[in-house]
Amino acid sequence: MFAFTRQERQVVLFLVTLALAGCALNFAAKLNSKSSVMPVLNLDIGKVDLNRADKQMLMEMPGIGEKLAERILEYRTREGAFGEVEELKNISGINNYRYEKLKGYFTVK
Amino acid sequence: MKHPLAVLTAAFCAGIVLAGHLRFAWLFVYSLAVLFLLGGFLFSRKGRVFDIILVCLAFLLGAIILKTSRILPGCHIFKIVSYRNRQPCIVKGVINGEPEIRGQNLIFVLRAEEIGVASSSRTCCGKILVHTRVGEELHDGQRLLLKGKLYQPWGPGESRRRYRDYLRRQDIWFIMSVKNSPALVKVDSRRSCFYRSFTAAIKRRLEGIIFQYLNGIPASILDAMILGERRDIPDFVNNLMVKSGTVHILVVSGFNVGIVVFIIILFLRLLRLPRYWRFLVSLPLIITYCLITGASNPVVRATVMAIVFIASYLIKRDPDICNAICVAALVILLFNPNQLFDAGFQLSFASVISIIYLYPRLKQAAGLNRLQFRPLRFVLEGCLVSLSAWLGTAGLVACYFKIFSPVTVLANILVAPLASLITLSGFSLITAGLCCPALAPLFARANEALVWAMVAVNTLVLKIPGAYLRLPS
Repeated sequence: MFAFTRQERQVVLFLVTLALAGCALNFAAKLNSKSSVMPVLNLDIGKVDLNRADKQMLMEMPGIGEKLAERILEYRTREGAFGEVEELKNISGINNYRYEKLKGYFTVK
Repeated sequence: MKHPLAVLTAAFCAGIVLAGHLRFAWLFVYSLAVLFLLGGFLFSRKGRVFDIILVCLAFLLGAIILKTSRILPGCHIFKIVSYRNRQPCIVKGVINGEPEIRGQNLIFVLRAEEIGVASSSRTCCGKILVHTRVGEELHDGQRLLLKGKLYQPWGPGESRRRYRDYLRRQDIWFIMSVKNSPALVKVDSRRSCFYRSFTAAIKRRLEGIIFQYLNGIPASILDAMILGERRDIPDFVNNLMVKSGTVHILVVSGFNVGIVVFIIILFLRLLRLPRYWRFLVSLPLIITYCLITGASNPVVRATVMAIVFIASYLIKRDPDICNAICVAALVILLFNPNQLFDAGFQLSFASVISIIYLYPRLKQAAGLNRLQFRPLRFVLEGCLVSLSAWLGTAGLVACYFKIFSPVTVLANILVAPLASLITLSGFSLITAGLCCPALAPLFARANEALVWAMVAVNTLVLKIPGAYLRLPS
Protein backbone atom coordinates (compact mmCIF):
# COMPACT_ATOMS: atom_id res chain seq x y z
CA MET A 1 0.00 0.00 0.00
CA PHE A 2 2.54 2.63 1.14
CA ALA A 3 5.64 0.93 -0.32
CA PHE A 4 7.92 2.02 2.54
CA THR A 5 11.46 0.73 2.48
CA ARG A 6 12.81 -1.13 5.52
CA GLN A 7 14.73 1.93 6.66
CA GLU A 8 11.64 4.16 6.34
CA ARG A 9 9.61 1.71 8.44
CA GLN A 10 12.25 1.78 11.16
CA VAL A 11 12.23 5.58 11.18
CA VAL A 12 8.42 5.68 11.36
CA LEU A 13 8.35 3.17 14.23
CA PHE A 14 11.01 5.18 16.06
CA LEU A 15 9.01 8.38 15.68
CA VAL A 16 5.80 6.71 16.87
CA THR A 17 7.66 5.23 19.87
CA LEU A 18 8.97 8.70 20.75
CA ALA A 19 5.47 10.18 20.44
CA LEU A 20 3.93 7.53 22.68
CA ALA A 21 6.72 7.90 25.25
CA GLY A 22 6.16 11.65 25.23
CA CYS A 23 2.42 11.22 25.76
CA ALA A 24 3.06 8.85 28.69
CA LEU A 25 5.47 11.29 30.32
CA ASN A 26 3.04 14.16 29.80
CA PHE A 27 0.19 12.12 31.30
CA ALA A 28 2.32 11.12 34.32
CA ALA A 29 3.46 14.72 34.86
CA LYS A 30 -0.13 16.00 34.81
CA LEU A 31 -1.34 13.29 37.21
CA ASN A 32 1.47 13.92 39.67
CA SER A 33 1.34 17.71 39.62
CA LYS A 34 -0.09 19.15 42.79
CA SER A 35 -0.87 22.60 43.98
CA SER A 36 1.29 23.55 46.96
CA VAL A 37 0.37 25.99 49.70
CA MET A 38 2.21 29.31 49.53
CA PRO A 39 2.59 32.25 51.91
CA VAL A 40 -0.54 34.34 51.67
CA LEU A 41 -0.46 36.88 48.82
CA ASN A 42 -0.66 40.58 49.59
CA LEU A 43 -4.20 40.99 50.94
CA ASP A 44 -4.06 44.76 50.58
CA ILE A 45 -4.02 44.58 46.80
CA GLY A 46 -7.08 46.21 45.31
CA LYS A 47 -7.45 48.40 48.38
CA VAL A 48 -7.02 52.11 48.07
CA ASP A 49 -4.60 53.78 50.48
CA LEU A 50 -6.66 56.55 52.07
CA ASN A 51 -3.55 58.65 52.62
CA ARG A 52 -2.47 58.57 48.94
CA ALA A 53 -5.62 58.25 46.88
CA ASP A 54 -6.72 61.10 44.65
CA LYS A 55 -10.34 61.97 43.82
CA GLN A 56 -10.38 59.76 40.72
CA MET A 57 -9.15 56.70 42.62
CA LEU A 58 -11.71 57.23 45.39
CA MET A 59 -14.53 57.55 42.87
CA GLU A 60 -13.52 54.19 41.31
CA MET A 61 -14.62 52.47 44.53
CA PRO A 62 -18.22 51.26 44.64
CA GLY A 63 -20.45 53.56 46.71
CA ILE A 64 -18.14 56.59 46.51
CA GLY A 65 -19.51 59.48 44.46
CA GLU A 66 -17.94 62.86 43.71
CA LYS A 67 -19.21 64.60 46.84
CA LEU A 68 -18.16 61.85 49.22
CA ALA A 69 -14.73 61.68 47.59
CA GLU A 70 -14.33 65.43 48.11
CA ARG A 71 -15.33 65.10 51.77
CA ILE A 72 -12.76 62.33 52.28
CA LEU A 73 -10.03 64.50 50.75
CA GLU A 74 -11.12 67.50 52.86
CA TYR A 75 -10.93 65.34 56.02
CA ARG A 76 -7.44 64.16 55.09
CA THR A 77 -6.28 67.73 54.44
CA ARG A 78 -7.79 68.91 57.73
CA GLU A 79 -6.49 66.06 59.93
CA GLY A 80 -3.18 65.60 58.10
CA ALA A 81 -3.59 61.86 57.47
CA PHE A 82 -5.82 58.91 58.26
CA GLY A 83 -4.59 56.87 61.23
CA GLU A 84 -6.89 53.95 60.50
CA VAL A 85 -9.69 53.00 58.14
CA GLU A 86 -12.25 53.35 60.95
CA GLU A 87 -11.80 57.14 60.83
CA LEU A 88 -14.08 57.07 57.76
CA LYS A 89 -16.95 57.03 60.24
CA ASN A 90 -15.99 60.62 61.17
CA ILE A 91 -16.88 61.80 57.66
CA SER A 92 -20.34 63.15 57.03
CA GLY A 93 -22.36 60.69 54.96
CA ILE A 94 -20.65 57.55 56.23
CA ASN A 95 -22.61 55.90 58.99
CA ASN A 96 -21.93 52.46 60.53
CA TYR A 97 -23.87 50.63 57.82
CA ARG A 98 -22.05 52.40 55.00
CA TYR A 99 -18.71 51.95 56.73
CA GLU A 100 -19.24 48.17 56.91
CA LYS A 101 -19.83 48.20 53.16
CA LEU A 102 -16.79 50.36 52.36
CA LYS A 103 -14.11 49.18 54.78
CA GLY A 104 -13.02 46.25 52.59
CA TYR A 105 -11.94 48.63 49.81
CA PHE A 106 -9.58 50.79 51.84
CA THR A 107 -6.34 50.52 53.72
CA VAL A 108 -4.10 52.96 55.58
CA LYS A 109 -0.34 52.95 55.13
CA MET B 1 0.18 4.85 -3.16
CA LYS B 2 1.54 8.31 -4.00
CA HIS B 3 0.72 10.14 -0.77
CA PRO B 4 1.02 7.89 2.31
CA LEU B 5 1.32 10.96 4.53
CA ALA B 6 -2.18 12.07 3.48
CA VAL B 7 -3.67 8.74 4.64
CA LEU B 8 -1.77 8.87 7.93
CA THR B 9 -2.77 12.50 8.53
CA ALA B 10 -6.41 11.66 7.80
CA ALA B 11 -6.23 8.74 10.27
CA PHE B 12 -4.61 11.03 12.87
CA CYS B 13 -7.39 13.62 12.43
CA ALA B 14 -10.05 10.88 12.61
CA GLY B 15 -8.55 9.78 15.94
CA ILE B 16 -8.79 13.34 17.25
CA VAL B 17 -12.40 13.70 16.09
CA LEU B 18 -13.46 10.40 17.67
CA ALA B 19 -11.67 11.15 20.94
CA GLY B 20 -13.38 14.54 21.01
CA HIS B 21 -16.83 13.00 20.85
CA LEU B 22 -16.47 9.76 22.79
CA ARG B 23 -15.53 9.07 26.37
CA PHE B 24 -12.98 6.37 27.06
CA ALA B 25 -10.13 5.80 29.46
CA TRP B 26 -6.76 7.17 28.46
CA LEU B 27 -5.05 4.00 29.71
CA PHE B 28 -7.21 1.78 27.51
CA VAL B 29 -6.32 3.68 24.31
CA TYR B 30 -2.66 3.89 25.30
CA SER B 31 -2.47 0.13 25.95
CA LEU B 32 -4.05 -0.49 22.57
CA ALA B 33 -1.48 1.79 20.93
CA VAL B 34 1.40 -0.02 22.66
CA LEU B 35 0.01 -3.36 21.42
CA PHE B 36 -0.17 -2.05 17.88
CA LEU B 37 3.36 -0.65 18.20
CA LEU B 38 4.64 -4.07 19.24
CA GLY B 39 2.73 -5.50 16.29
CA GLY B 40 4.45 -2.97 14.07
CA PHE B 41 7.87 -4.17 15.22
CA LEU B 42 6.86 -7.82 14.78
CA PHE B 43 5.36 -7.38 11.31
CA SER B 44 7.79 -4.76 10.00
CA ARG B 45 8.70 -7.04 7.11
CA LYS B 46 5.13 -7.80 6.05
CA GLY B 47 4.18 -4.88 3.80
CA ARG B 48 0.38 -4.78 3.88
CA VAL B 49 0.00 -5.81 7.53
CA PHE B 50 2.54 -3.18 8.58
CA ASP B 51 0.69 -0.48 6.62
CA ILE B 52 -2.62 -1.34 8.31
CA ILE B 53 -0.94 -1.29 11.73
CA LEU B 54 0.58 2.11 10.89
CA VAL B 55 -2.81 3.59 9.98
CA CYS B 56 -4.26 2.24 13.24
CA LEU B 57 -1.31 3.70 15.17
CA ALA B 58 -1.85 7.12 13.57
CA PHE B 59 -5.53 6.95 14.55
CA LEU B 60 -4.76 5.94 18.15
CA LEU B 61 -2.00 8.56 18.43
CA GLY B 62 -4.50 11.27 17.47
CA ALA B 63 -6.90 10.05 20.14
CA ILE B 64 -4.18 9.82 22.80
CA ILE B 65 -2.78 13.27 22.06
CA LEU B 66 -6.21 14.86 22.29
CA LYS B 67 -7.08 13.04 25.51
CA THR B 68 -3.73 14.00 27.04
CA SER B 69 -4.18 17.64 26.07
CA ARG B 70 -7.60 17.72 27.77
CA ILE B 71 -6.34 16.31 31.07
CA LEU B 72 -5.91 19.19 33.48
CA PRO B 73 -2.92 18.99 35.85
CA GLY B 74 -3.63 18.80 39.57
CA CYS B 75 -2.54 22.39 40.08
CA HIS B 76 -4.78 23.80 37.32
CA ILE B 77 -6.76 26.86 38.29
CA PHE B 78 -10.00 25.17 37.19
CA LYS B 79 -9.54 22.61 39.99
CA ILE B 80 -8.89 25.26 42.62
CA VAL B 81 -11.58 27.82 41.84
CA SER B 82 -15.25 26.92 41.59
CA TYR B 83 -17.10 28.43 38.63
CA ARG B 84 -19.64 29.74 41.10
CA ASN B 85 -16.93 31.69 42.85
CA ARG B 86 -18.37 34.76 44.51
CA GLN B 87 -15.34 36.09 46.35
CA PRO B 88 -12.68 38.15 44.69
CA CYS B 89 -9.39 36.29 44.16
CA ILE B 90 -5.84 37.54 44.12
CA VAL B 91 -3.90 36.09 41.22
CA LYS B 92 -0.20 36.36 40.51
CA GLY B 93 0.92 35.60 37.00
CA VAL B 94 2.76 36.57 33.87
CA ILE B 95 1.27 38.31 30.82
CA ASN B 96 1.24 35.90 27.88
CA GLY B 97 1.36 37.78 24.57
CA GLU B 98 1.03 41.50 23.88
CA PRO B 99 -2.02 43.18 25.45
CA GLU B 100 -4.72 44.42 23.08
CA ILE B 101 -6.72 47.61 23.28
CA ARG B 102 -10.42 47.25 22.43
CA GLY B 103 -12.28 50.48 22.91
CA GLN B 104 -11.92 51.52 26.57
CA ASN B 105 -10.60 48.12 27.65
CA LEU B 106 -7.17 46.60 27.76
CA ILE B 107 -7.32 42.84 27.28
CA PHE B 108 -4.55 40.33 27.87
CA VAL B 109 -4.00 36.69 28.75
CA LEU B 110 -2.42 35.99 32.13
CA ARG B 111 -0.54 32.77 32.78
CA ALA B 112 -1.43 32.19 36.44
CA GLU B 113 1.29 31.16 38.91
CA GLU B 114 -0.34 31.67 42.31
CA ILE B 115 -3.88 32.19 43.44
CA GLY B 116 -5.22 33.46 46.75
CA VAL B 117 -8.81 32.60 47.60
CA ALA B 118 -10.30 33.45 51.01
CA SER B 119 -7.42 33.14 53.45
CA SER B 120 -5.23 30.64 51.60
CA SER B 121 -2.81 30.91 48.73
CA ARG B 122 -1.70 28.12 46.41
CA THR B 123 0.47 27.60 43.34
CA CYS B 124 -1.50 27.07 40.16
CA CYS B 125 -1.29 26.93 36.37
CA GLY B 126 -3.64 27.77 33.52
CA LYS B 127 -4.60 30.96 31.75
CA ILE B 128 -7.02 33.75 32.56
CA LEU B 129 -8.40 36.34 30.15
CA VAL B 130 -8.14 39.70 31.90
CA HIS B 131 -10.16 42.82 31.10
CA THR B 132 -8.96 46.04 32.59
CA ARG B 133 -9.09 49.74 31.83
CA VAL B 134 -6.70 51.37 29.39
CA GLY B 135 -4.10 53.41 31.22
CA GLU B 136 -1.46 51.00 32.40
CA GLU B 137 1.70 50.31 30.39
CA LEU B 138 1.72 46.55 30.14
CA HIS B 139 3.75 44.22 27.96
CA ASP B 140 4.40 40.56 27.29
CA GLY B 141 6.29 38.78 30.08
CA GLN B 142 5.42 41.26 32.83
CA ARG B 143 4.56 39.74 36.21
CA LEU B 144 1.42 41.12 37.86
CA LEU B 145 -0.72 40.80 40.97
CA LEU B 146 -4.42 41.17 40.23
CA LYS B 147 -7.52 41.21 42.33
CA GLY B 148 -10.94 40.50 40.96
CA LYS B 149 -13.69 37.95 40.56
CA LEU B 150 -13.09 35.01 38.30
CA TYR B 151 -15.99 33.84 36.18
CA GLN B 152 -16.61 31.57 33.24
CA PRO B 153 -18.59 32.61 30.17
CA TRP B 154 -21.55 30.36 31.03
CA GLY B 155 -25.04 31.07 29.93
CA PRO B 156 -27.70 30.07 27.43
CA GLY B 157 -27.18 30.42 23.73
CA GLU B 158 -24.97 28.83 21.15
CA SER B 159 -22.76 31.88 20.77
CA ARG B 160 -21.93 31.81 24.50
CA ARG B 161 -21.09 28.10 24.31
CA ARG B 162 -18.96 28.67 21.21
CA TYR B 163 -17.07 31.47 22.93
CA ARG B 164 -16.45 29.27 25.98
CA ASP B 165 -15.17 26.44 23.75
CA TYR B 166 -13.02 28.90 21.78
CA LEU B 167 -11.37 30.10 25.01
CA ARG B 168 -10.90 26.55 26.30
CA ARG B 169 -9.11 25.55 23.11
CA GLN B 170 -6.50 28.13 24.11
CA ASP B 171 -6.43 26.81 27.70
CA ILE B 172 -8.27 29.92 28.95
CA TRP B 173 -10.75 28.78 31.60
CA PHE B 174 -11.67 31.98 33.40
CA ILE B 175 -12.26 35.65 32.71
CA MET B 176 -11.32 38.31 35.23
CA SER B 177 -12.42 41.90 35.21
CA VAL B 178 -10.08 44.27 37.03
CA LYS B 179 -12.03 47.47 37.51
CA ASN B 180 -9.78 49.78 39.42
CA SER B 181 -6.12 50.63 39.25
CA PRO B 182 -5.14 49.53 42.81
CA ALA B 183 -6.33 46.02 41.91
CA LEU B 184 -3.45 45.69 39.41
CA VAL B 185 0.09 45.75 40.78
CA LYS B 186 3.22 45.25 38.71
CA VAL B 187 5.57 42.85 40.45
CA ASP B 188 8.44 43.12 37.99
CA SER B 189 8.98 44.65 34.57
CA ARG B 190 11.04 41.88 33.05
CA ARG B 191 10.15 41.22 29.41
CA SER B 192 9.55 37.83 27.90
CA CYS B 193 12.26 35.92 26.04
CA PHE B 194 14.42 37.97 23.69
CA TYR B 195 12.89 36.54 20.50
CA ARG B 196 9.32 37.40 21.51
CA SER B 197 10.19 40.94 22.54
CA PHE B 198 12.26 41.31 19.35
CA THR B 199 9.33 40.28 17.10
CA ALA B 200 6.94 42.46 19.12
CA ALA B 201 9.29 45.44 18.65
CA ILE B 202 9.48 44.84 14.89
CA LYS B 203 5.68 44.62 14.71
CA ARG B 204 5.30 47.92 16.58
CA ARG B 205 7.82 49.57 14.24
CA LEU B 206 6.04 48.33 11.11
CA GLU B 207 2.65 49.35 12.52
CA GLY B 208 4.11 52.74 13.23
CA ILE B 209 5.06 53.12 9.56
CA ILE B 210 1.58 52.09 8.37
CA PHE B 211 -0.19 54.52 10.71
CA GLN B 212 2.29 57.29 9.94
CA TYR B 213 1.38 57.38 6.26
CA LEU B 214 -2.22 56.11 6.34
CA ASN B 215 -5.17 56.61 8.62
CA GLY B 216 -8.71 55.34 9.16
CA ILE B 217 -9.97 52.36 7.20
CA PRO B 218 -6.99 52.02 4.78
CA ALA B 219 -4.56 51.86 7.73
CA SER B 220 -6.64 49.30 9.64
CA ILE B 221 -7.12 47.07 6.56
CA LEU B 222 -3.43 47.18 5.68
CA ASP B 223 -2.53 46.45 9.32
CA ALA B 224 -4.74 43.35 9.14
CA MET B 225 -3.50 42.15 5.76
CA ILE B 226 0.23 42.63 6.40
CA LEU B 227 0.62 42.23 10.19
CA GLY B 228 -2.47 40.26 11.19
CA GLU B 229 -3.93 42.98 13.48
CA ARG B 230 -7.71 43.19 12.97
CA ARG B 231 -8.63 45.15 16.08
CA ASP B 232 -9.04 48.52 14.30
CA ILE B 233 -11.20 47.34 11.40
CA PRO B 234 -14.65 48.94 11.69
CA ASP B 235 -17.54 46.53 12.16
CA PHE B 236 -19.31 47.60 8.98
CA VAL B 237 -16.26 46.70 6.85
CA ASN B 238 -15.96 43.33 8.58
CA ASN B 239 -19.70 42.61 8.09
CA LEU B 240 -19.49 43.71 4.45
CA MET B 241 -16.72 41.26 3.71
CA VAL B 242 -18.30 38.40 5.69
CA LYS B 243 -21.48 38.75 3.63
CA SER B 244 -19.62 38.90 0.31
CA GLY B 245 -17.38 35.97 1.32
CA THR B 246 -14.15 37.96 0.97
CA VAL B 247 -13.29 38.29 4.67
CA HIS B 248 -10.39 35.85 4.17
CA ILE B 249 -8.62 38.79 2.44
CA LEU B 250 -8.24 40.42 5.87
CA VAL B 251 -6.25 37.46 7.17
CA VAL B 252 -2.51 37.02 6.70
CA SER B 253 -2.24 33.96 4.50
CA GLY B 254 -0.15 32.05 2.03
CA PHE B 255 -0.05 34.91 -0.45
CA ASN B 256 1.57 37.18 2.13
CA VAL B 257 4.08 34.49 3.10
CA GLY B 258 4.80 33.99 -0.61
CA ILE B 259 5.50 37.68 -1.07
CA VAL B 260 7.76 37.72 2.00
CA VAL B 261 9.69 34.72 0.65
CA PHE B 262 10.00 36.43 -2.74
CA ILE B 263 11.26 39.71 -1.22
CA ILE B 264 13.76 37.93 1.03
CA ILE B 265 15.16 35.77 -1.78
CA LEU B 266 15.32 38.75 -4.15
CA PHE B 267 17.17 40.78 -1.53
CA LEU B 268 19.61 37.93 -0.85
CA ARG B 269 20.13 37.55 -4.59
CA LEU B 270 21.15 41.19 -4.76
CA LEU B 271 23.73 40.41 -2.08
CA ARG B 272 25.12 37.75 -4.45
CA LEU B 273 24.53 34.89 -2.03
CA PRO B 274 24.64 31.39 -3.61
CA ARG B 275 21.25 29.76 -4.15
CA TYR B 276 21.69 27.25 -1.35
CA TRP B 277 22.46 30.00 1.19
CA ARG B 278 19.60 32.16 -0.07
CA PHE B 279 17.13 29.45 0.77
CA LEU B 280 18.82 28.57 4.07
CA VAL B 281 18.89 32.19 5.28
CA SER B 282 15.27 32.74 4.27
CA LEU B 283 14.02 30.01 6.66
CA PRO B 284 14.50 31.89 9.98
CA LEU B 285 13.23 35.11 8.36
CA ILE B 286 10.00 33.41 7.30
CA ILE B 287 9.56 32.02 10.81
CA THR B 288 10.14 35.54 12.19
CA TYR B 289 7.39 36.92 9.92
CA CYS B 290 5.08 34.15 11.13
CA LEU B 291 5.70 35.19 14.75
CA ILE B 292 5.33 38.90 13.96
CA THR B 293 1.86 38.28 12.52
CA GLY B 294 0.73 36.37 15.60
CA ALA B 295 1.23 32.79 14.34
CA SER B 296 -2.46 32.21 13.55
CA ASN B 297 -3.47 28.96 11.85
CA PRO B 298 -3.44 30.23 8.22
CA VAL B 299 0.00 31.82 8.71
CA VAL B 300 1.46 28.74 10.39
CA ARG B 301 0.02 26.57 7.63
CA ALA B 302 1.53 28.78 4.92
CA THR B 303 4.85 29.07 6.77
CA VAL B 304 5.21 25.31 7.26
CA MET B 305 4.30 24.71 3.61
CA ALA B 306 6.92 27.27 2.54
CA ILE B 307 9.51 25.60 4.81
CA VAL B 308 8.71 22.18 3.32
CA PHE B 309 9.13 23.56 -0.21
CA ILE B 310 12.40 25.31 0.66
CA ALA B 311 13.68 22.22 2.50
CA SER B 312 12.91 20.10 -0.56
CA TYR B 313 15.12 22.43 -2.64
CA LEU B 314 17.88 22.18 -0.05
CA ILE B 315 17.88 18.37 0.04
CA LYS B 316 17.36 18.14 -3.73
CA ARG B 317 13.95 16.46 -3.64
CA ASP B 318 10.86 17.30 -5.68
CA PRO B 319 8.42 19.39 -3.62
CA ASP B 320 4.96 17.91 -3.20
CA ILE B 321 2.09 20.17 -2.22
CA CYS B 322 0.01 17.35 -0.74
CA ASN B 323 2.82 16.32 1.61
CA ALA B 324 3.44 19.97 2.47
CA ILE B 325 -0.13 20.55 3.59
CA CYS B 326 -0.13 17.28 5.58
CA VAL B 327 3.06 18.31 7.40
CA ALA B 328 1.49 21.71 8.15
CA ALA B 329 -1.62 20.05 9.60
CA LEU B 330 0.45 17.64 11.70
CA VAL B 331 2.67 20.41 13.07
CA ILE B 332 -0.34 22.45 14.22
CA LEU B 333 -2.25 19.46 15.63
CA LEU B 334 0.73 17.98 17.48
CA PHE B 335 1.06 21.27 19.38
CA ASN B 336 -2.64 21.71 20.00
CA PRO B 337 -4.99 18.95 18.74
CA ASN B 338 -8.00 21.04 19.83
CA GLN B 339 -7.31 23.31 16.84
CA LEU B 340 -9.00 20.68 14.64
CA PHE B 341 -12.34 21.87 16.07
CA ASP B 342 -11.54 25.55 15.39
CA ALA B 343 -13.47 27.20 12.54
CA GLY B 344 -10.38 29.10 11.37
CA PHE B 345 -8.31 25.93 11.10
CA GLN B 346 -11.05 24.08 9.22
CA LEU B 347 -11.69 26.93 6.78
CA SER B 348 -7.99 27.51 6.13
CA PHE B 349 -7.25 23.89 5.29
CA ALA B 350 -10.56 23.24 3.52
CA SER B 351 -9.94 26.10 1.10
CA VAL B 352 -6.40 24.99 0.25
CA ILE B 353 -7.32 21.30 -0.05
CA SER B 354 -10.28 22.08 -2.30
CA ILE B 355 -8.10 24.27 -4.53
CA ILE B 356 -5.43 21.53 -4.73
CA TYR B 357 -7.99 18.80 -5.44
CA LEU B 358 -10.80 20.50 -7.36
CA TYR B 359 -9.04 23.15 -9.43
CA PRO B 360 -7.11 20.77 -11.77
CA ARG B 361 -10.30 18.72 -12.33
CA LEU B 362 -12.44 21.76 -13.01
CA LYS B 363 -9.78 23.13 -15.34
CA GLN B 364 -9.70 19.88 -17.28
CA ALA B 365 -13.50 19.66 -17.42
CA ALA B 366 -13.70 23.27 -18.69
CA GLY B 367 -11.07 22.51 -21.35
CA LEU B 368 -9.08 25.66 -20.53
CA ASN B 369 -5.83 24.14 -21.80
CA ARG B 370 -7.23 24.38 -25.32
CA LEU B 371 -8.02 28.10 -24.97
CA GLN B 372 -5.53 30.16 -26.95
CA PHE B 373 -6.55 33.68 -25.88
CA ARG B 374 -4.36 34.16 -22.81
CA PRO B 375 -6.08 37.07 -21.01
CA LEU B 376 -9.43 35.24 -21.14
CA ARG B 377 -7.74 32.02 -20.00
CA PHE B 378 -6.13 33.90 -17.08
CA VAL B 379 -9.51 35.33 -15.99
CA LEU B 380 -11.25 31.97 -16.30
CA GLU B 381 -8.52 30.22 -14.34
CA GLY B 382 -9.01 32.81 -11.59
CA CYS B 383 -12.74 32.05 -11.64
CA LEU B 384 -12.06 28.34 -11.26
CA VAL B 385 -9.68 28.89 -8.31
CA SER B 386 -12.34 31.02 -6.64
CA LEU B 387 -15.03 28.45 -7.41
CA SER B 388 -12.87 25.60 -6.02
CA ALA B 389 -12.25 27.47 -2.77
CA TRP B 390 -15.96 28.38 -2.48
CA LEU B 391 -17.07 24.78 -3.04
CA GLY B 392 -14.73 23.63 -0.29
CA THR B 393 -15.76 26.23 2.28
CA ALA B 394 -19.43 27.05 1.56
CA GLY B 395 -20.67 24.29 3.85
CA LEU B 396 -18.45 25.35 6.74
CA VAL B 397 -19.37 29.03 6.34
CA ALA B 398 -23.06 28.14 6.33
CA CYS B 399 -22.59 25.99 9.43
CA TYR B 400 -20.54 28.44 11.50
CA PHE B 401 -21.72 31.84 10.30
CA LYS B 402 -25.22 30.98 9.04
CA ILE B 403 -24.52 32.80 5.78
CA PHE B 404 -24.73 31.50 2.25
CA SER B 405 -23.17 33.82 -0.33
CA PRO B 406 -23.77 32.85 -3.95
CA VAL B 407 -22.01 36.07 -4.91
CA THR B 408 -18.72 34.92 -3.32
CA VAL B 409 -17.23 33.64 -6.57
CA LEU B 410 -17.90 36.93 -8.40
CA ALA B 411 -16.76 38.99 -5.41
CA ASN B 412 -13.52 37.07 -5.10
CA ILE B 413 -12.75 37.40 -8.81
CA LEU B 414 -13.05 41.17 -8.46
CA VAL B 415 -11.54 41.58 -4.98
CA ALA B 416 -8.66 39.07 -5.09
CA PRO B 417 -6.58 41.04 -7.65
CA LEU B 418 -7.23 44.24 -5.65
CA ALA B 419 -6.15 42.47 -2.46
CA SER B 420 -2.96 41.28 -4.15
CA LEU B 421 -2.19 44.85 -5.23
CA ILE B 422 -2.97 46.15 -1.72
CA THR B 423 -0.60 43.60 -0.21
CA LEU B 424 2.15 44.42 -2.71
CA SER B 425 1.73 48.17 -2.23
CA GLY B 426 1.60 47.63 1.52
CA PHE B 427 4.93 45.82 1.56
CA SER B 428 6.33 48.51 -0.75
CA LEU B 429 5.08 51.20 1.66
CA ILE B 430 6.78 49.48 4.59
CA THR B 431 10.03 48.98 2.65
CA ALA B 432 9.97 52.62 1.53
CA GLY B 433 9.15 53.75 5.06
CA LEU B 434 12.22 51.90 6.34
CA CYS B 435 14.70 52.66 3.53
CA CYS B 436 13.49 55.69 1.57
CA PRO B 437 10.77 57.70 3.37
CA ALA B 438 10.51 60.17 0.50
CA LEU B 439 8.79 57.49 -1.62
CA ALA B 440 6.46 56.27 1.12
CA PRO B 441 3.65 58.83 0.49
CA LEU B 442 3.38 57.65 -3.14
CA PHE B 443 2.77 54.06 -2.07
CA ALA B 444 0.44 55.28 0.67
CA ARG B 445 -1.79 57.16 -1.82
CA ALA B 446 -1.86 54.15 -4.15
CA ASN B 447 -2.73 51.92 -1.24
CA GLU B 448 -5.57 54.21 -0.10
CA ALA B 449 -7.10 54.21 -3.59
CA LEU B 450 -6.92 50.42 -3.80
CA VAL B 451 -8.50 49.93 -0.37
CA TRP B 452 -11.40 52.23 -1.16
CA ALA B 453 -11.84 50.47 -4.51
CA MET B 454 -12.02 47.14 -2.67
CA VAL B 455 -14.63 48.45 -0.21
CA ALA B 456 -16.62 49.95 -3.10
CA VAL B 457 -16.56 46.66 -5.04
CA ASN B 458 -17.79 44.75 -1.99
CA THR B 459 -20.61 47.26 -1.45
CA LEU B 460 -21.61 47.07 -5.12
CA VAL B 461 -21.55 43.30 -5.23
CA LEU B 462 -23.85 43.03 -2.21
CA LYS B 463 -26.48 45.10 -4.00
CA ILE B 464 -27.07 42.24 -6.45
CA PRO B 465 -30.39 40.56 -5.54
CA GLY B 466 -29.78 37.30 -3.68
CA ALA B 467 -26.12 38.14 -3.06
CA TYR B 468 -26.20 36.55 0.35
CA LEU B 469 -28.72 34.74 2.48
CA ARG B 470 -28.96 34.52 6.23
CA LEU B 471 -29.71 30.98 7.24
CA PRO B 472 -31.91 30.18 10.22
CA SER B 473 -29.88 29.29 13.31
